[in-house]
Amino acid sequence: MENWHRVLLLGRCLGPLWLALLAPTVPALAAEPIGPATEQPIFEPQVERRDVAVDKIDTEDFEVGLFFGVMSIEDFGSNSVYALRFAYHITEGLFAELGAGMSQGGKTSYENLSQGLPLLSDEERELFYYDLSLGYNLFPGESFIGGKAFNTALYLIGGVGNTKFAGDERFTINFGAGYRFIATDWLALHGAVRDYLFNIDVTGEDKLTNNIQLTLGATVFF
Amino acid sequence: MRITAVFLLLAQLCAIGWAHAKDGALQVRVAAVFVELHAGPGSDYPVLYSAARSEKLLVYERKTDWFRVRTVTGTEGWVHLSEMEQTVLSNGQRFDAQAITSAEYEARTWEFGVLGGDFEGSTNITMYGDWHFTPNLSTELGLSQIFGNYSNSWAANLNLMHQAWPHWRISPFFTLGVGYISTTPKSTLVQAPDLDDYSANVGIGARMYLTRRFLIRADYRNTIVFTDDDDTNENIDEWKIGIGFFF
Repeated sequence: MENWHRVLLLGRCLGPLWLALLAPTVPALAAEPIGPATEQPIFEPQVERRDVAVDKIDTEDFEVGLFFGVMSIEDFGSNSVYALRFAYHITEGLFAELGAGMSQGGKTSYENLSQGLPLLSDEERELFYYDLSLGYNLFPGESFIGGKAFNTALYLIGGVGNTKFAGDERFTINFGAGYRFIATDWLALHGAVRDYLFNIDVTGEDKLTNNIQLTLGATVFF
Repeated sequence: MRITAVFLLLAQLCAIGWAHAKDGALQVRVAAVFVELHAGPGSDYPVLYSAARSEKLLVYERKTDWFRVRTVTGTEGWVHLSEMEQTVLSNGQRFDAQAITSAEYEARTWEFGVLGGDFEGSTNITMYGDWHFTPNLSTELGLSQIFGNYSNSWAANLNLMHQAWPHWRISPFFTLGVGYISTTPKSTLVQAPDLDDYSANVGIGARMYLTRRFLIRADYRNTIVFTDDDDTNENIDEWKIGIGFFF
């Protein structure tokens, strides 16, 4: 198989060489250009050199995983949050991340104290968000457990997105930090803190709220 | 139900990851005076070992520009692409992993990115995907969310883009397309019905290749929304800037 490849390559390399050698002896041939073959350099670079074996090396630039934790929704208490995150590692430092998650708002202090009409319906208390963020592995390092070294990184992350809560879609800015612990060549564990900032006007005035999310996650590289 | 599906997906991905980890490795021989094995896939990780000329390395996986290798004596580490290129394969060929350069950028087929900006005074987030079917022509699908003071909108656009000078570092493009925009008034402010309208847009913009698979892009669009309540169409100025990557 490889021999055939070489024969072909030699044929391609030597073909123009034969033509070049023959050309001066055949003036009629040399006088008029007969096509691109005569214009080719004698030493044609071997463009077919690339070996496909190199392309078969497993690239692991994508990371996908589940996160679970607590989200504190300003005025509406703290509740569990689930998120799915997908990251693409662009360089050793930078990565882009697409995330989506859901949580639920509880009752405000006002609702509990007044025992009056609820501010929001149950459906409006459902919180759903997505975000598009850029992260940077600020402090790559190693952790040592049981005499074994594991690669880790403390990363900063921030981005924009949308939060659907209290009946409206809300433009959301997020920023935070996380710790990635690479347990095996394909599995990583995360601990992350993210603040989601959005405006909300259901409590009487339009105000910017901080909604902090603490999560633990497991991701796989592929 | 949804969570079960996600877990199943994750389990599947774990299985894929495991299968990859067990695959056979590629063997290379060091052709430079030495190559350095770092503890992790990054230049900040300490150098654990220097593999000397003629030493054999097994290559297991790649993360960004780093390759995880193992020496004959079992030392594992990560070697940067630039040093891997100073090794040879068993058949004598140079290890050529083809670093991503502007040549790959010019030959890109797929491009994805995120843009942010202004949509007639409202905040706009857009995700887009481009399919480049010739060096000059591409088609783009964009999905935008627009956050206004009184209403929010979702918009989808299908565009045809023409890039006259694809080999320029800052390369301008021209775009023409149609779209659909769905507007929902804010629940606390007004009692108005949802609006769904078709739109058409024309725009100009530019891309600049940054590094590796990265590009920066900015554009301006003029969108006409064909509102159906009266004869006047809405004319919207929109500008965006953002980051994209390509394959």
